[in-house]
Amino acid sequence: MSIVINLDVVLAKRGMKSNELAQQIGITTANLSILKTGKAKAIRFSTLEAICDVLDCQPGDILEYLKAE
Amino acid sequence: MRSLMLFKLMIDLFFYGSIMSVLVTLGFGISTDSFNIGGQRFDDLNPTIITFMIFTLLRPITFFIAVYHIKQLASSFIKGEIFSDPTSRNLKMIGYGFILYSVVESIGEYLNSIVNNIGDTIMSGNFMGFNSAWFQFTLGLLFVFMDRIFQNAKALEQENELTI
Repeated sequence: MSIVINLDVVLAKRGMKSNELAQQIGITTANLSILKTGKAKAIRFSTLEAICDVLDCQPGDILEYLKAE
Repeated sequence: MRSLMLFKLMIDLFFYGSIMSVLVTLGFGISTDSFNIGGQRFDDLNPTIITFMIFTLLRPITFFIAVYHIKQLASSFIKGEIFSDPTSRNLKMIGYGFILYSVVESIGEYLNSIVNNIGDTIMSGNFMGFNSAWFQFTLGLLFVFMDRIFQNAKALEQENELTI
């Protein structure tokens, strides 16, 4: 997939664990794992907003577009 | 849910009742040596009569295939597997069952007209109504089309579930 999720990187920079983030944004750890591993088909604006709010970042820090070769 | 349970009960009764009826009829026919097709005994077996007999026997088989898959479909719905692979497969099989039944029935009717010297029956009689082979063929196509719809719905459901 050409959209890459850099949530791991941002979490590492903030020194935060996945389950902590999941708890704060109100989604299950299983769903957060789906998002982190790139298996998610889409992300709601509300989820993105919550992630950006908790991690104090921009959507571009989490989502990256890589041109398919 | 209650109507679904009733539907499953009706299909189960119909399915097992039909099997029992076929078995009893066959058993009675064989045990009393009065086996016949449509009340007619065939002592002189020629290729046309044998083909007619094969198609007469194929008719209930294709019918049972369709009913069996309707039964399986009801079970899937009761389990809550609405947009799943088994549901999709059952819908397709019901469709193919109906299509095959209508083809077998049409050929059987045609052979019947030859065997019993009735005349051409393909376009005559039984054209209108739910009993007609044309309607059953169309119904079969509808089920095959519904399989496509369910596959589409399954993909949408999966996408929805994977929206975080």
